[in-house]
Amino acid sequence: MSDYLCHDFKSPRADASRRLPNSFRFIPITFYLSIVAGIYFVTMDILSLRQAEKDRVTAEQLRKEHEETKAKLDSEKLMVDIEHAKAEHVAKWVEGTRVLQPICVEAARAIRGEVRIAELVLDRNVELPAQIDISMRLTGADSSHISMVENAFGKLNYRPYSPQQARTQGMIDYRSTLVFINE
Amino acid sequence: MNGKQLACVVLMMIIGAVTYGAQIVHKKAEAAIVAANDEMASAEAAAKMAEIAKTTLEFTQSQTAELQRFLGAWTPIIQRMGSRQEVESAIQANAREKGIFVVNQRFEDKNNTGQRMMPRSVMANLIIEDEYSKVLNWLGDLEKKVPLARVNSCRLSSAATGRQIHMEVSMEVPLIDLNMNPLGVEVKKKK
Repeated sequence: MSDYLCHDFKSPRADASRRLPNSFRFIPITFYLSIVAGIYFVTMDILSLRQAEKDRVTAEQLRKEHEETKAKLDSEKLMVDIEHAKAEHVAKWVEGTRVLQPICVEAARAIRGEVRIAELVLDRNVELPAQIDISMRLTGADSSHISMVENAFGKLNYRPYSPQQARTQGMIDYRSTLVFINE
Repeated sequence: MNGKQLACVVLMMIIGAVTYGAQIVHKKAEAAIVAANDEMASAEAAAKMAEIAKTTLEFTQSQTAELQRFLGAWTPIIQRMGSRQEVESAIQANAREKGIFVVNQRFEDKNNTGQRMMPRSVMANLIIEDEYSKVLNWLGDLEKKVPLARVNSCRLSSAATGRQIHMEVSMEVPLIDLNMNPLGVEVKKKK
């Protein structure tokens, strides 16, 4: 090997381009760090994303189940409400069908002696069917007989409301409204 | 720009791209977590609503139990009086059974406007003349056997003969349709 060649090989060589500042050494370090951190965070985020998706599907299914249960319960409640409304309608009607025969019987039983009932009229109040307008014509009666009749109505839990009496030629016209008292 | 500078720029671009990509994935993950949390909150709210509906149903059932039993007891009676013919025959059968003298009887239909459950009623007007005890026993028996009958008017007076009485009775028997929904709301049929 010639000296020239050896010298040429060892001689300092001028840089092909200008050296970068020292701070630029951090760029490759940052690159490696960013690659590692990126892989880590992206992996963690993808795992979170999958878990969140799974949780969302589970929660959605649960929500649908609860909503179905609620709809079913609401439907059942509606049926109960309908049955209740039907029962109320029937009960309202039945409340106005309180029997009249015992009133006639008790009125007749209460009258004793020579007193006679010439006419007995029972009219159910159209607006308040539980109330009954009574009109009675008694021959040979006095106030005591009216009291006896009213007491007889009391035994059936009927209270005479605004009773009126009119006396004409040995007859007493008696009118009142019988109101049933629930005890 | 020399090769080193170009390499730095490329590296920085890659760093930026990685960071941007990671941010996008992170945002997506966050959005998915928020959506999952929202859905869980919705599920919890739905569970609470279902619980409230259950409590309301139980409360309503307990509150209406007595009326439900009442309706259950009256249902066979209502079903027996489903048509005008059934009402007429029940009243006539009662009169025949008691052997009372019916002077006159008249049955009429009455439309109850606005009443969904009781759209029609049968109005029965009867004039009876017989012995006092027979007439009142008949009335008592009729009110017992046709409990839906509402006696609107009852006029008792002396008949031509001393022992007999004259009774004019007017009653209304509703034809109740239990299949009708009185609330007027639509009920969804279960599949």
